[in-house]
Amino acid sequence: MTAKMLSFLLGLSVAALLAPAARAQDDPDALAAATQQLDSGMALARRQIAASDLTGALGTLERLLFAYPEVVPARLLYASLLCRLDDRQGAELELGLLAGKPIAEADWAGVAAACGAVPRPPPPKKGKNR
Amino acid sequence: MSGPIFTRLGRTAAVLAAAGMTGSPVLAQAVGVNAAVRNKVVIRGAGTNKVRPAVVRERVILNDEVRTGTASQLQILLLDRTTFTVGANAQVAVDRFVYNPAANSRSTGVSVTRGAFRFMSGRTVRRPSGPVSVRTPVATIGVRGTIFEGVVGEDAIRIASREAAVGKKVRAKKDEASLIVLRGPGPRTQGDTSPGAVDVTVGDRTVTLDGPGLALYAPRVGAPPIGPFQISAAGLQALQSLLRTTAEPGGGGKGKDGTTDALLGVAGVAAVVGGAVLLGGKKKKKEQQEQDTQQDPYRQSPN
Repeated sequence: MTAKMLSFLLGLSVAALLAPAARAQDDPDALAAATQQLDSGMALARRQIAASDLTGALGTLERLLFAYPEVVPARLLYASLLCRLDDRQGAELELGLLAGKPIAEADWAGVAAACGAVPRPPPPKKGKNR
Repeated sequence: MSGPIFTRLGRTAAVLAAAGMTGSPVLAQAVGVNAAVRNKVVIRGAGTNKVRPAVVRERVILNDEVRTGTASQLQILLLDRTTFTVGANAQVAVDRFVYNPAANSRSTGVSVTRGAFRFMSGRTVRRPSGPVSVRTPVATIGVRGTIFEGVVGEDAIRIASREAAVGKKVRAKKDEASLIVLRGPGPRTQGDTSPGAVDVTVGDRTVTLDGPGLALYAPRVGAPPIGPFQISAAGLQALQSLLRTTAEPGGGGKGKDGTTDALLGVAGVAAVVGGAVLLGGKKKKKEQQEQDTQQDPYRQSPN
């Protein structure tokens, strides 16, 4: 067996061993799969934020909001990320979409921490849950 | 085994690992995956006339042509983790993609013939060694690690003409006009990111956008670009409405429990069409007005 062929076969084996690890970290396919469900998508975004991958998290939340546009915590996290990326105008635009939606104090605290003083969207009208 | 064999082994492993990441045949060069699809999005295969609906997690092949319908979006995740979002009424193709993770290098080219788009540089390659550019019919945008958006065509004219820096008297061509807006990261960015910028070349002029919200408008081939100027809140909102799904009527999407799965466009379009047929005259008109308002925030102003 030539050295070239040996190299190829060994490379194939190493690649097969490395593939699962790569999938877990950076594989676009795995990242896309994670945002098919709300919980796994939010968890992925939070992991990316914890790893300081703010643009990665922004992309994750964008995918999530395509599928779940009404999920308030996802849009709040998206807005807070825009603030952290110094896009305050974009953040305020996203927050404007949440007028009349219920916002949990813990979620708003995250926005306030990232954005500082920013207008809070008005709460739902009385007698309206959403 | 000698040193060179190990070197070759490493190279082979890197190439095959990349192939494993895509799970695609080697002959058709996969450049990424469809990471999210909303409503009507179709792909025309590279070098063919065969058109198919876009499906989540399907491979994106070099020179595939993406076409989106009204209120439709596609997010492509490239192998280098660059995110490219295609907005409503767009026609786009990735026509250059070279990515070598082992050498930490890449070169990416995207052509936007019409419609709205958002580009977010991938984190993997921090110092790209090759050009990363987005071309419109009138401008070439050189990307320097950043997030930016643009729109080509009639929507660009509609949005730009309402900006004070542009006005309604500028002569534009509807198949050429391009509006480019930098979103960030800005100078006060946090985390593992650096401030970004784009260099927009129109004809023999290059204009740098290096602050969030800075915009440039190129109305037609041969005309000087207008800007940079700070885009208005209404202008940014109008651009955003082409690039995102909202919770308002017509926005679609899953509810909190994720029961309404409209990720594959055909079903979503069928539902919209079916819903429109069922609506009565006045109600239909009112909802259409609401949708129009969502697409065009200028209509919200009293005048």
